[in-house]
Amino acid sequence: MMEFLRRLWVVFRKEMIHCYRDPHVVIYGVLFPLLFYPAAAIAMLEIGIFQEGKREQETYRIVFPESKEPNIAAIRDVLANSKRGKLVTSSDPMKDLKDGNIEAFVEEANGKLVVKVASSLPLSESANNYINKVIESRRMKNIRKELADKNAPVEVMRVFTFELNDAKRTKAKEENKGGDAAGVIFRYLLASVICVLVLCIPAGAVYPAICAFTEEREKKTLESTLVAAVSTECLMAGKFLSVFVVALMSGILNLIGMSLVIWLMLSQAKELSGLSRLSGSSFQVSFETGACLFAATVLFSLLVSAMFSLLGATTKSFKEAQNMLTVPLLIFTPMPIAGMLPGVLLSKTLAFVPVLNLILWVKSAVRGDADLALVGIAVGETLFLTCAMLFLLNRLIRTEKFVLGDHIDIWAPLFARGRANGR
Amino acid sequence: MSSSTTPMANGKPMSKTSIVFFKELKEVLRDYRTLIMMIIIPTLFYPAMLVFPATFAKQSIAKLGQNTVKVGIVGDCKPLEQHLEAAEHLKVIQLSESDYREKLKSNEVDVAVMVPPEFTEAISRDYTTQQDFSDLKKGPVPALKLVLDTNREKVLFSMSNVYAAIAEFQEEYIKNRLRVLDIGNAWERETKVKFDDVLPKQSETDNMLPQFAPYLMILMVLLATSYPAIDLITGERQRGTLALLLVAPVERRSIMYGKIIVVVLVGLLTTVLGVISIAATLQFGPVKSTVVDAHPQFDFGLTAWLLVLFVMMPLVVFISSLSVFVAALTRTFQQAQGYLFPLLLVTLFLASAAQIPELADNAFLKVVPIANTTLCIKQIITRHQTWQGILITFVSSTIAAILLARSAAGLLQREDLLLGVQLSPKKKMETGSYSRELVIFGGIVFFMLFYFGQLLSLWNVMASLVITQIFLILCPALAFLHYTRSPVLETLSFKKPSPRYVIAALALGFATVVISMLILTVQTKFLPYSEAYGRQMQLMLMPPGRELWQIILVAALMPAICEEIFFRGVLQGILRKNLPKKKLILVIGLLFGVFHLSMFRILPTGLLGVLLAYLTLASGSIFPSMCLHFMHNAYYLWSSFYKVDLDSTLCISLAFGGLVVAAVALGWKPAQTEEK
Amino acid sequence: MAVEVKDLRKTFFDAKRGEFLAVDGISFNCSQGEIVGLLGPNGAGKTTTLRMIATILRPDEGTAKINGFDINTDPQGVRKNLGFLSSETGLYERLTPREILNYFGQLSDYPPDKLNQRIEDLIKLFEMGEFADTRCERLSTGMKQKVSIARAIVHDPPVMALDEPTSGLDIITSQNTYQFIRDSKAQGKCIIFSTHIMSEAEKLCDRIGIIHRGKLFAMGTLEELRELTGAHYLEDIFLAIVKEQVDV
Repeated sequence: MMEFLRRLWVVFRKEMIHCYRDPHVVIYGVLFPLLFYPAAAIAMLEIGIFQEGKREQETYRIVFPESKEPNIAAIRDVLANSKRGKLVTSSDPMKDLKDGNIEAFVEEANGKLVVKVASSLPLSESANNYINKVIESRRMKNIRKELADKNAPVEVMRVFTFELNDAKRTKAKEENKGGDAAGVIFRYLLASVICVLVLCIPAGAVYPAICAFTEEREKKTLESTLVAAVSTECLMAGKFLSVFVVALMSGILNLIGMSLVIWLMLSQAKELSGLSRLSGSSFQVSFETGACLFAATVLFSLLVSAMFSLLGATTKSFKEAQNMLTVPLLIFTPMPIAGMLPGVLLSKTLAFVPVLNLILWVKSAVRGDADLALVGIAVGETLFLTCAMLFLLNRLIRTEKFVLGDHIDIWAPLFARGRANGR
Repeated sequence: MSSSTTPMANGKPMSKTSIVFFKELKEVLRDYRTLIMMIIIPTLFYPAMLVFPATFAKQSIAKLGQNTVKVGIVGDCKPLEQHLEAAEHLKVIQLSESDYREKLKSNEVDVAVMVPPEFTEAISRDYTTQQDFSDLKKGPVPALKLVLDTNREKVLFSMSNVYAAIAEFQEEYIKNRLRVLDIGNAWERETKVKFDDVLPKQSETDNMLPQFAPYLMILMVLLATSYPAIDLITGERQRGTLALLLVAPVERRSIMYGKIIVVVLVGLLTTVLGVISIAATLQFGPVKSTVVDAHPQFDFGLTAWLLVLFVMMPLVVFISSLSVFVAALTRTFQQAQGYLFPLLLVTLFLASAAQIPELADNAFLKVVPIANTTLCIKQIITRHQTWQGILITFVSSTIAAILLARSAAGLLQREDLLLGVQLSPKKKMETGSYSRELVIFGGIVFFMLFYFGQLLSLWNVMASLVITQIFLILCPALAFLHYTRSPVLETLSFKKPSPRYVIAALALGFATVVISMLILTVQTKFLPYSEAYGRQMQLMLMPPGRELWQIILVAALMPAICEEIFFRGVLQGILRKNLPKKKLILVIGLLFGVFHLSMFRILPTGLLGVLLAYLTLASGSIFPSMCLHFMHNAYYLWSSFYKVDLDSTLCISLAFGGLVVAAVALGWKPAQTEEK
Repeated sequence: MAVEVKDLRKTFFDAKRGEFLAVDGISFNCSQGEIVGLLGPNGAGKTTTLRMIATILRPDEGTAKINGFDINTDPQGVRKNLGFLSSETGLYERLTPREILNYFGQLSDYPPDKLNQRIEDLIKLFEMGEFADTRCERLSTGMKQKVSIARAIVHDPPVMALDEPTSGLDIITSQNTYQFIRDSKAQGKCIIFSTHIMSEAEKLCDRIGIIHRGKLFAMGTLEELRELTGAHYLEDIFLAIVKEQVDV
């Protein structure tokens, strides 16, 4: 056993050294992301500031017919003189509203005011909020004034408050206008973190997989490796391990980089623009969630490394290897986006879809409603697939086909039979 | 002598680019396995990826579909119960402290309202005189607690009904209290306002298709083009056929254009197939009823898809040129693979712009390649497109694509990329060709400024300003100077300046502050930023509770020395060897603007940078620019410290006076030389 | 003169050796119907010299004229008059020999109406008939070498630059190459040819240039070199010249 481990270590170390002697891998796999994430974060923040600035400059076109009722006339005056309200006239306000020519239409009905908006149009939603704010602040101002005249405390206005709590989380979640926005941004950040992870783990595994398996054939070192006095299991395990370690490192480094950048930007930008509306608690990642994200990263790295090792062993040249290894990349890339859609949850069906089930597991951990049985299926299946692929790989390495390499192709591992060298 | 000296003797001359093109096309088509993988898989797989999750999401949300919110009340409060019972869309269920969590879990109730005893007590109290209110100040305000499962999107969406009912309930009590105070009409008098939505509200799921489709299409194009590009260029190099091409009597540019066109063709094929496949899946697939028919607000018609193809066209050229560009930088397949990851990362980042709901109509993003196209496609599908939007996107993408294709085509002329020829340090210093090193250096400085600078400023603003200036700006600059082994004093322009430049610098100090402010005012019309950002910037430079002299020391003197040595000293000193004067001044100014890491500050600081670079170049000394930089920052800090109105006539005339003095001081020289 | 090389210089840099002259002022001539061999060990500067003559690299200093065209001012003219072949050049794997010949013929502005005939002639000449329409990835080394040679001369250039054309080939394939070089000479072409194999140079070249560390130490016919050094075998001549020069 010790002998096996020692040999394993020798093989593993050679592969690792071989890989990292090419500085390009280090530069583009590790250093580039560390520069890219802050740049991307700054770009997003800048866009946010711009967006917010634009919103502050917006003026809302409001149709508000004149009224004889003094209160309504007063409200109309306040709106007309407000910073962003602009009163316009229209012959057919409802049509203009639906066409986006005006943002709001204020109508008088039985002494009540009805503000009509079309919230799916760009400006209308914020016009709605703005009009509400203007009217509300006028009302409060008036009442405060009268309370002060009567020498009564302002607390008269506060009968009770109410707060929103999440049934599944112990931490109280403050109800504010930003709650929705925080949720959207949090989901977006989480989705991008997972997107990048799903992208960078395979991208990290491609190179060592090509190095450890295809390059042996292309650079004609395969024979000397196979002649060495090591069992194929040891050889395969060592090579697989190197692929796995590089993939995992790539994942973890990127994860750390992204978390660091997100944390720095959030703590720097608390006061800024759209983010000021967000409550900090929305962005807190619990220990369980973090652990689950990490475990999913490890499992995904395992799956990807096994898959890429197998594919790497079935290819004859670098070019072919690249083509083969890109196919899984093609399939993985859109998965996190699909998984992050609202309503897509870890179900009995989806728990059996590889990769997607890991993504949904992380999602359910964030939501706090992970179902242990389904998670078990997801984890079990990933481990099973990894083992199955390693088994096929081991079988393949023993065959004559692998040694000769002329007729090897993607189907070879399935039909691999017989032992070339009896080991 | 053979006939080779008389080319094109008879037959029609065929453009070299097209000869290269047809050969490359033949080769690419013969490598059908790659082609199939890169084109067929996405076109088959991605539409499924696009459509099925949408259906899934739709169904799982539909399951939760309900109009009435089931409100459970924990605790005893009859008035509240009655009020909620009377409200529209609410159904009240009495719950107990012990079972409400279970009921929430089993969805028997959607939201539990926890009523604490002090709440019941507070609302049942009678207020009859004004004196009763005085002890209101003392006690805490009782709080209702609403407990719900925030994962249930549908409940969250209909919570507004609950909020409204509770607010109404509170209103009643406020009115009563006001009545006691004899100002009951203060509330009553106000007109009631109701909000009404005339168009159906959209949920997040609804937007999924238009958000997701452009992203997938761009991903498809990138993956489909990058492999042919790598094969045609890196592959050619690795297989040793590149030398053959280089000795053939063809312009190296034509070779590259031939190759780019092939890659573009592959990209276009992918796009057309992808769009057809997505459109067909939506139109004929089993999901038509759930996706297409359920969203009448989206445009899935022929015209829409043709428009999508139209805006995708320049993008395909752009992405193809990008792939060729990156492939031309690599010498082996492994290297190419290494470059592909950053390429994917950047492209997908830009492509995901459409997924942020808030970015629907951002004028600034309309000129950013890739991001503009995703946004435009999203708008086309959601019927929000405008003709000028599509046109701007098309034109800006086309310009970007042409520029990129041109620079990619030029790459084959560089020996260092072609055969790995390196320049010696001596030759580098003579010609000042440090572009590679400068990029790496810039990256390192950015890295340090971002990570360490930000961490430091979280700890202590003033200290971080000092440490940043010395260790993250001055030290790297000097280290870079040492690396290039340039003569220190000469490169840094450490020389006694002619006094008139110092006079000009001093005179310009205040004028530049006023001009910067004016530029910013005009710029804000086109490029607005949030008020909070403005406040934050002020706070960064001026932490409260500090004396003015401290701030000036840290935020004016330090940058005047450190940043000047960085930009006007090291960078300008090294770049002036291989850049013509005008270009040098512009480049230094631009770098100075970009260095401030904010698009809102590029123009004002960039112009200041240009002025500083000009002063250094004209005077041959770095000290005038140090003076000006210090004066500028100091005046700026002074004016914001005392909230001086820079818009006033006095300030503007002072600035104008400064300009005149500077102009006279700078214009002295021609007069002097004439006298001689 | 078909080829006039004047004072070519090229500096390279690498981290280990620092700056060094890969080619240090090489000048020589070559006329029609002549074979000039550049003999030198690996890294002597032969490949760089030939690459500069073939316009792949730009010389730092000096120039060369190929059939009257200057490599610095008229690279296109040079390329039309030059056939280039090296041991490292490959073939397009997914094209057939006929397609490759056609491609380079077109690129080199060979008269289109005569191109097909030219290709047929070449296929006959090199006995490629059997595999002219098979993709190159399936050809043997010998076949590939034939295609490579045919490719280099498809536009019938008056000057040929061959960079170690036989390295890595077996005896029979090398013989084909030698035969081709001799035939070309008979047709009055000018051939510059680099090698590190002494016997090859001895057998083929009219004049031999000895290159070492970027410098051309001596150039002349075998007889002249023998006279110069007093040695008989080329190997000894080479060592004598190189040693003498390096010692000085």
